[in-house]
Amino acid sequence: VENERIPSDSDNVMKKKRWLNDIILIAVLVLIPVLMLAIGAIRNSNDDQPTLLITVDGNSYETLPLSEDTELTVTTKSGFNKVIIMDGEAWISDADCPEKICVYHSHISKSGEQIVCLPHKVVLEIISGEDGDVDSISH
Amino acid sequence: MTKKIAISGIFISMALVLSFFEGLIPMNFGIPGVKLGLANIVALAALFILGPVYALAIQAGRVVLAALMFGNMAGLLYSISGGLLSIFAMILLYKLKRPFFSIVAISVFGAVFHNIGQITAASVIVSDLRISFYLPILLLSGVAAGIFVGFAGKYLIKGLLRTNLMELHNPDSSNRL
Repeated sequence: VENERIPSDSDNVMKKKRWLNDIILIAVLVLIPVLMLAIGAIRNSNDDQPTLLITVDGNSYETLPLSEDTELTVTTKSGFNKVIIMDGEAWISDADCPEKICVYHSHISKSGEQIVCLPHKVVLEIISGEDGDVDSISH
Repeated sequence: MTKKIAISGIFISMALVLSFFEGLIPMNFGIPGVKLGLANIVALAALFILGPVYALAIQAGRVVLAALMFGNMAGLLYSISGGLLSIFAMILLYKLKRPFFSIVAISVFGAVFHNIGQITAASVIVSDLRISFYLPILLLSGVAAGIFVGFAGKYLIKGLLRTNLMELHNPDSSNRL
């Protein structure tokens, strides 16, 4: 059968080399995100006052300190997202978007973490306290 | 030619069944976009058996049909950008002048670029580039899923070749399986 050609020696050498190439490529693809996570973790380590920034369609909507327990309903022309802040964590408890991906999302508390509701273009992001000051001035 | 079109049809239906099947497995890691991407097994088989042009057509057809049948139109934009970027990335590694990488690496590369394409589309939609916070987690999950899918694709192709109904598009790629 033509599909089953007999592997030659040079084929086998190439196959071994290819495994090494594969492993190098995969290692690089693992290393990049691990470095990104590490950099993020270092930047968070001196974060004393995390703040929740809510943006709608790229525009800042509300900034809330994570230290105070609150509830807020973000109403946009596409629908609502009910945001809850409790015990230093923020999450979306209810929304009228079709797939409810934002509602099933894990709670966020560390700087850089986000919950995104794509259909409503609502983004919840934790920013560090200092960033918060800058944002509240610039907006 | 006719045979290739017939096989394309079989591949699209296989991919749709896998997409549907994957939707039945409850998987929620709290991060949207983390998934196995079982349909990519078929994309790999299409690439190795029918070649890049058919693989691209099958990927496009699969993404649109999956959105029509069990997705929603809002999700179509992410699936298209992810699906097309992924197949282009895999074609690139497949077509490299010297075959540096095996099917597993091709699959991992495709999975990673699937996630990059999706997150780019999502960033554009919410007009917020910082959405890339998800990127590292998605890249890691893409590598893991890509390895699994790569091995699954390898055995699928070997099985398909054993039926003697199909043969490799490029006979030299047999040692990449």
